[in-house]
Amino acid sequence: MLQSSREFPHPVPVTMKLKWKLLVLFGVVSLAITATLGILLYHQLREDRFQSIRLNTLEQLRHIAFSVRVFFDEVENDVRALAQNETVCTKKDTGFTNFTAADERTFQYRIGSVEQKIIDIFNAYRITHPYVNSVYMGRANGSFVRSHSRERPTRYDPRTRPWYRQAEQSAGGVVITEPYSSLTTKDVNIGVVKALVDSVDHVYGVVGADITLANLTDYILHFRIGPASRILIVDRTGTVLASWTSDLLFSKIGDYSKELAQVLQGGHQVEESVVIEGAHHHVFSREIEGVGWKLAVLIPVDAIEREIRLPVMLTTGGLVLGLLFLSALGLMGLNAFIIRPLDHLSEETALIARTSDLSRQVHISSKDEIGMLGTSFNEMIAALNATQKALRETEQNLIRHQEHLEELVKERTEELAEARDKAQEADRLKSAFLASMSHELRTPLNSIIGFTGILLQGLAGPVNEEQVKQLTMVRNSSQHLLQLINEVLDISKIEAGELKLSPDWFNLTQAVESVEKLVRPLADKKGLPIRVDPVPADADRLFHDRRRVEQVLINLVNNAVKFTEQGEVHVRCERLGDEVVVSVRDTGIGIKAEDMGSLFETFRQIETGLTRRYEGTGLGLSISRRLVELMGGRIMAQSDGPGRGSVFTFTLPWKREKTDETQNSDH
Amino acid sequence: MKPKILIIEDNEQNMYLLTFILNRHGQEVLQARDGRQGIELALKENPDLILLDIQLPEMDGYTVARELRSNPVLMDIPIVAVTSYAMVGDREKAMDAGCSGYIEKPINPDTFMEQIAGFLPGIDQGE
Repeated sequence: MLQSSREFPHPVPVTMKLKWKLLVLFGVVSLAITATLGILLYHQLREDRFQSIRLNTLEQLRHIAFSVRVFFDEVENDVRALAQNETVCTKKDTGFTNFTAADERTFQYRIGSVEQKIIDIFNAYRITHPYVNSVYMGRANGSFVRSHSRERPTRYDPRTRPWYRQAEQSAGGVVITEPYSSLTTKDVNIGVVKALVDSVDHVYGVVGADITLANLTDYILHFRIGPASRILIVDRTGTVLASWTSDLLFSKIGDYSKELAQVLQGGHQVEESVVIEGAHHHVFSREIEGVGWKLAVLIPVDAIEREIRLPVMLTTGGLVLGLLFLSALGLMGLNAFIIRPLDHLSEETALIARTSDLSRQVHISSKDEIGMLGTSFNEMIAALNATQKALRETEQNLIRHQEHLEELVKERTEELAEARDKAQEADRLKSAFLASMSHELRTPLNSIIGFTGILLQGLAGPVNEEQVKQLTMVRNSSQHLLQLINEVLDISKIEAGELKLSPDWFNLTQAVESVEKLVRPLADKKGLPIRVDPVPADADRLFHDRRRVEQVLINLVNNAVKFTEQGEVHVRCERLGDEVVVSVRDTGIGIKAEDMGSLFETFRQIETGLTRRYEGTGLGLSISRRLVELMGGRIMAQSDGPGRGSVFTFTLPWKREKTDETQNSDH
Repeated sequence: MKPKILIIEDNEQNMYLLTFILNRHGQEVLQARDGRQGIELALKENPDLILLDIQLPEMDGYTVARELRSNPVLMDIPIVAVTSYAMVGDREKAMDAGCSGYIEKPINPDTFMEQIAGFLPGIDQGE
């Protein structure tokens, strides 16, 4: 249980963390939204504002240009009208005031009635048009009539003045002159002048009205255009005719800003960004048709940005506040609907985990996902509880089964022990029985064989031929009986695992010779030769139980002789690798293929068709096989079929004799 | 002088057979029907060879052999067990008990004399 509480951290810090995570998340999201919106808004506002200012400016520019144009048109019309006035255009101008030879100190105005009429007309026009500074007329004779008296009657020849010359040059129309400083006042004026032309296109005078440019500046400045906008008008030569600042008036615009001057040399309408006095400005300019002036508005970029800063800040601030408010609301909602229920749920589940009490259930307070989580948890706990119960039952069943199994094993072990004891007892009884049987059978056989032998030896007196024949039969039968007993005994011993081999070094040659000697009488009786090949030197020394090797060989050679009527028995020994192979070949009755398999089984004698013609227990081959296998070799038979003879072969493991082994036998 | 051979054997037929063969081959035979009698006879007659059956009444052949071997007077007399015990270890048991040879019954009358000749040093000179 300690383990589990260590594995599951206390739930409270988890929910705290959740809150903080949410807070951080909200914060980051709010910041991101605010920043993005702020930047977008800023750019959009700036763009919008700029466009609005631009359009407004262009509109105003157009408007001003138009107004100025209209204004000049009016003045032109007025001047044209004045020039066509019958009184004004009189050719009788000899008596008009003439300053060509005037002396300031001595000059006296002598004004005739016609001239006075003209002066009245001029003056009336000047008074009714406040922007008109003066109305005047120069004549080809050098006379000069003006709406009002000159302040100082200095020497003055109108024909030399630029306004007169310009009007003279374009005699057909109204001319607007270059600005020029008044000789008598400090004003800079422009004249709107018209030549008086007679019927033969001869200029006999020029009528004009001067407009002071101070009034022009006043006029354009009353247009509100944009934030901190600066407005100015320059003429074709780049002279500033009107300006937001009087410093620039009548100076060359190129002196103020070369970039601006360049812009103002551009086309009919130009928009450009220009650096003026180290600050970025948007410049909008428009040509005033007719006069060929350029009207320009300079708007500092800073001013636009300053103007939009406040709305942007207000919007972003509002956004931040709104987001904060929403976050707070969201957090409260989350806390109420998710975090606290989760907290609660995790406390309860932690309690269950701590106490491992699966009978407990968590309290479900809502039908939402958290409620479902709780329900699922309860279901899981219930399932776990059921599984645990089932497991416990299974465990108990297992324990019961185990106990039962132990009992069973104990019972079976006892039974087996009993069975083993019985088997051992039976085995012991069998051995005892065999020993006893063997003994009991040998005792009468001893008499039979012994006395038959004595009689045959003639030790008890002479016996006739017939008696010898019969006694021989008795002896042979009893010897066969003895052989049967011995073989049964051998089989029993082998099957009981009691047959012990006593291996020692011996010469195969000697063993083969003694076997041949033993079987020779039987073969001689049949006139059957036994051919024994000399044992090769490398197969001669063997480390085996000589008695048992001989027993096998006797059996095989004996069988060969027994089952062969004609031909020969051939014994051959050789060494192949680690084995010595001994084969006994005969030319006898052979073996049927179907009998091959059961040849070496216990109590088998091949059915020969001649009942009991061949004596034998049928144990010989079985014993031979077991003996050979006991010595680590193999035994096998081969035959080409009935009547074609057979070969019996057995192998024995061979090992090299070491000289010291011959000297001290390990037994 | 004829070699004296003591036969300790309870079976009449076997006793007769051995006695007959030995007599016919010119040996003097002493007969004992059980072990006790055999030991007494051996002490009295000091035979040249003892043929000892193993299955005897009252006292078995192993015990008789051991008693004969434990007596200093009889210690050097060769004892040949003639027995129908042919199970594993029977020969070893007989040899361990003090026998000098072991002949399995049934005996072979044709070779029996050869088998015991080795234990009768004088027989060759006698014949």
